[in-house]
Amino acid sequence: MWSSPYFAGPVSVLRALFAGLALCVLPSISSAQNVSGDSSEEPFKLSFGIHQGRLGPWGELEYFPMILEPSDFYIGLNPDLKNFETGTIWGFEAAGVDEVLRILSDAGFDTALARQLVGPDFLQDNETTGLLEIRPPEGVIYSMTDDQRRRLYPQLRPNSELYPFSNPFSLHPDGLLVYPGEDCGVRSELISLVDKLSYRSHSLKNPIRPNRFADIYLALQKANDAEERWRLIKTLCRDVTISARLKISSQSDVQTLADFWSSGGRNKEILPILKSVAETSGVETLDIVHLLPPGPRKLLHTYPSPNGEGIGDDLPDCFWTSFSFFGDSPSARHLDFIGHVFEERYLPVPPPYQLGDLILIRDRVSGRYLHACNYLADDLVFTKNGQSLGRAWLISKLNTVLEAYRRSDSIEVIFARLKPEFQR
Amino acid sequence: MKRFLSQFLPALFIALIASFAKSEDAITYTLNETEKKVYQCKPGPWGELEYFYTFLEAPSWIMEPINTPSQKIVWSFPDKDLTQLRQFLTDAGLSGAQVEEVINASVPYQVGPPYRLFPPSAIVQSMSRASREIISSELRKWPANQFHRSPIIIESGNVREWFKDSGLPVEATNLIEKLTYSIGHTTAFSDVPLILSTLRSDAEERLFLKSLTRTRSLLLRLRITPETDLAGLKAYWSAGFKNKDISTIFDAVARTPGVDEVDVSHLLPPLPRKNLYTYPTLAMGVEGMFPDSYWTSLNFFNYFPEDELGDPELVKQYYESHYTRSGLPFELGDLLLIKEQQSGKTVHACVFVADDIVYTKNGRSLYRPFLLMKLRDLLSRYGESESTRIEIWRKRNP
Repeated sequence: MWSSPYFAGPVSVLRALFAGLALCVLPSISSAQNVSGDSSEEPFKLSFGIHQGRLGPWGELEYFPMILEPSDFYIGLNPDLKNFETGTIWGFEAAGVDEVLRILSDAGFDTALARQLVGPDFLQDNETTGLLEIRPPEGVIYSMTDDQRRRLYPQLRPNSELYPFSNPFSLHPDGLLVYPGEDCGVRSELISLVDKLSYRSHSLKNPIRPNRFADIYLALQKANDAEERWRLIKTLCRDVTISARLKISSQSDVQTLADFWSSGGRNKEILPILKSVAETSGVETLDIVHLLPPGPRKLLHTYPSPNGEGIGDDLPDCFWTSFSFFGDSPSARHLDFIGHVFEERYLPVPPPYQLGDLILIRDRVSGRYLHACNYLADDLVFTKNGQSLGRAWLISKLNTVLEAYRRSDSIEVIFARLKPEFQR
Repeated sequence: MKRFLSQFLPALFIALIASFAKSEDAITYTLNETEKKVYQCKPGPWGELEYFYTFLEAPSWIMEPINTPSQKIVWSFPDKDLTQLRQFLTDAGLSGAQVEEVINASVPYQVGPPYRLFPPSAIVQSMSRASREIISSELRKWPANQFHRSPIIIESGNVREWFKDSGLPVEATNLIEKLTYSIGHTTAFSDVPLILSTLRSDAEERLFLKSLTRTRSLLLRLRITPETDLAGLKAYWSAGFKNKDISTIFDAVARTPGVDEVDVSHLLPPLPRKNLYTYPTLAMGVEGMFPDSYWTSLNFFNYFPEDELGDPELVKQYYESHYTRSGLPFELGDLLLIKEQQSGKTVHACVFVADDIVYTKNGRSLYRPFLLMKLRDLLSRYGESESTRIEIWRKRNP
């Protein structure tokens, strides 16, 4: 059982805090207006090197991806490191064997295999937990299709947040994050195993890479030792952020750049620092960390701390992050329901967008708000993808964020800005 | 509250009385030739650092509530009677006639000590640089002398370059240059009332006041090459796990072709990263005190600032219980207490970053930003270097 003195919340939420890409749910806001529903662009393909941004009022950006890893403290909270020795167990909260058979059949297992799995060799009735438990042979796990995993795993102990199948690891749209040629502490065979057992979280018209991984007990059993198990969890929890730099030369129109990055006066006066770079020979770039407001500057590339901005198990999520962008000290109020804050203080806006504009991602079908982040420049956003302690505050490509939150073929993106009377 | 106002609020904030309309005048600055280059730090466990200068100036919103100070020149000598004042001014180099003129212009309005002197502008202008240094050194001891207590420091030493694009009349700039004096090896200026008396319009006064908030800082970058000892860098910048979780940044830079440097902002703990190159906000003062050098230094590793660390009475107790007296070599995050050699009084606190660069906030004023600066420049601000010493304290590991 995963427990920590740092958390007072119910055990059921703990794995969600760890596993990460938790859904941020904001009730539908009627005044929101669909500005752009384009999700057809290619997602950002991770390439470790310098990328050139598009020219715009923000100037000329260059950026490169950086891998981040959560702290050892956070990894130490992982329940799988303690529980993996039990081996893979499919737990069914089912009334009887027939219901288990139905679940397996619905997941696409052929009848013969399903009957074999509910036979006495593999199925046990655990009287302690009240679950019907299947211990599947490794061959079955290896042979499962992407579709079978997607349909079966959410049915396994769906009410247990500590269970890896109901709360799988979320992977980056480009897969496990490892630098080319890097020895991340995990053997390539194990990385290949993770790749093989990963699956897509949803079925979409446009196929994407597998983005979920749940067979962590099996993978941990294949690790050589405790060090490799530790590194495997760390690698699975990696995130990718972007380090961006603004190119500035003596020919740069620093006043125009200052106009953009000051965001209508809401950001601090940054003209002097831009001018210093423009005038100094041998200096051609300025890290955009210097151009962000204080709040994002403090949070960027860091992970939440149990002793940080959260209150109990109310931890900073995407809404807390995005609504606090210009606040010198983020408001704890943004940990709570903020539907009416959005309704009353924000207005949907068309392009051109400004630094700090709120971006809301909504599922058009369900009307649910899936995520919120802030526009920075070009197609870069400032984001925290989920409430988890294992999710850092990042700079990301907007399309990468969209890809991570795509639950259906139909999502829409709403850009909004604080009404003038609320801008300081 | 009265004590707070008299002791801690900044010179400009206290002294400016009249209303100050919002200024739309943009002051832009040009680096002088020596500042337009990249400098290399000495190599050390911090790696290969380079820096270049940048200038900060108070944002408009801070200037909005500012009152313009009086043009009357005031020298306050709380510890001297008339005999001692005459002797002091004489020793400072004023002629007998000048001393009597100053006394006669001041004493009739006062019934006794403590005395405030109102020296005529002509006498102040005619003083030698040596006289100015002696008198300023004495005035700086007393909070009532706000402009001497917190003088304008012109780090580059070049007054004309400093005010080049300020929009001030050339005559004013020339006069400022004439009125400067030395503190250690830096150039200081305190005669704000005198300059105000020479300006010809409200717009010029606003430009002058805003230009006085200018501060020089530096942008610091760490170079990372294939030969760089990454393990050594990680060890230094993580400061014994007090600044953990920065190691992946080194890996990213080292593994990305075409990227060979990282801005040191990324390597600082969250709170100084947030505050660096900014001025205090009004929200920082809601508990009654704005951040000073102690607040800034003692909160260096704190994720959330502890506001009580701005309370001078708690500072010593805090660092004695959370820090250990240490020595050279410096480490990232070391608390440096600058103390007067003779009295042992702590006059300033800052935090060591690398080489001879410190993170500091020079005073509690709203007009003093959080910045990086050279330790040598800092020492010049807080007394002649030969009369101060530095005490090193290291935060205990978590």
